[in-house]
Amino acid sequence: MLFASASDETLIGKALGGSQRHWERLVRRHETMVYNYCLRMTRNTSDARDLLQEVFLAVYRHLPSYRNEGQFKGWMMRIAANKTMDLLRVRQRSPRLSTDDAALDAVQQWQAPDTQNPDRVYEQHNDNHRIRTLLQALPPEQRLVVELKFFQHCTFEEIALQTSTPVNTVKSRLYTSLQKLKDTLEERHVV
Amino acid sequence: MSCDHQVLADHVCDYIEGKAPPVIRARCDEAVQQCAHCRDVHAQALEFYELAGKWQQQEVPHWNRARFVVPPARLPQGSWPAWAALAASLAAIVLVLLRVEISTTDGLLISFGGSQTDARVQELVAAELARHDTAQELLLDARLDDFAADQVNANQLLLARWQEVARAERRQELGLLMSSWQSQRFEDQQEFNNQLTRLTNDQIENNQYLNVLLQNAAQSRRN
Repeated sequence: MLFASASDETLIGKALGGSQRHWERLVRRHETMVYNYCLRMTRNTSDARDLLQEVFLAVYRHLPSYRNEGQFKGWMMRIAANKTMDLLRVRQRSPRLSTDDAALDAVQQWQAPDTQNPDRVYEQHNDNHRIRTLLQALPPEQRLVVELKFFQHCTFEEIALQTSTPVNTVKSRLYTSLQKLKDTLEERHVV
Repeated sequence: MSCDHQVLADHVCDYIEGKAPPVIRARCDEAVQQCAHCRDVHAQALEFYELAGKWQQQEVPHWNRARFVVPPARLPQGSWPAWAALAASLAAIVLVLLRVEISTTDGLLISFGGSQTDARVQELVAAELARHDTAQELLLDARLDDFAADQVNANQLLLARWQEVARAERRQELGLLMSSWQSQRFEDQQEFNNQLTRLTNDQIENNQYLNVLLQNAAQSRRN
């Protein structure tokens, strides 16, 4: 309750002063957004968990260099984008031997619901799985642009800033992504 | 019309979000109406906007948020743990210098640079590794069994809930059917009662009319 209304900057100040509680509070405030972002960008929950920890480790290490310029969320998501691209590049260079991590995830994540309507829960689970499968069909750079545009609702200028890419390149990547998503969807409908 | 798709490529998101200026909006309208490719891209963007809106936030799995960030508290110089560590180190050095060997009747042997040969050490290590492998296999099998059992339970639970929901829905539908049937029956009964009342009234009126006619006839016969 004490921290409920504390701003990010206040929590950052206290965390830099060595307060573990304030740091945890700051992490709890943003971790759901970051985790879901990681989940959409990576192939499975295991990678998403690793990435989540990497992101917050990097955030903590760079906290002293954060000078309250702009929003903390944007600064943090810039770090998340960099870390994600690093991970995806590593995965591209040395793909893992797993047959289908996403399919395994789909089995592991599916739990019988407690109180909600099972049909509704299954439908939601299916939507998430469909979105992740579609995103996986895109190369990392295009996936990042789609994520930032459709899920983070960033403007093209913000995306350009986060990805250190010219605005026109961002627009072109989004356009190519849409064409590719269309092809993927059509293939799935045919199959 | 020849369309280079550039207008929609640059502004499809602003167009959908309603943020495009009027001139651009008009050009996008035209492209969507007249170019099949632009129409496809526009439809795709719309579909993905809708799909993105369906994403359900996943809960973050349990993790130690401060594991890597909070340095362990430093012990003050000269405290007892520091002295204990120093004493343990010195004891270890003495044990190595004296080549002490500690053995138990169970076969446990702890040697600080003692008489064990490399071959013996390798044999022990190999035996230990084999034992570890066996233990790992057993553990893995047990975990796989547990996982399979959990999945079976989860599926059964899901099936049971589904059946419960289906039964509840059927009960609700049956209840609705019964109540509508009862209200219809009540209305029919009321209608029947009304008709019966009307018929009875008509009969009474007829009887009264006949009585009057009979009385009139009797009267005229008497006269």
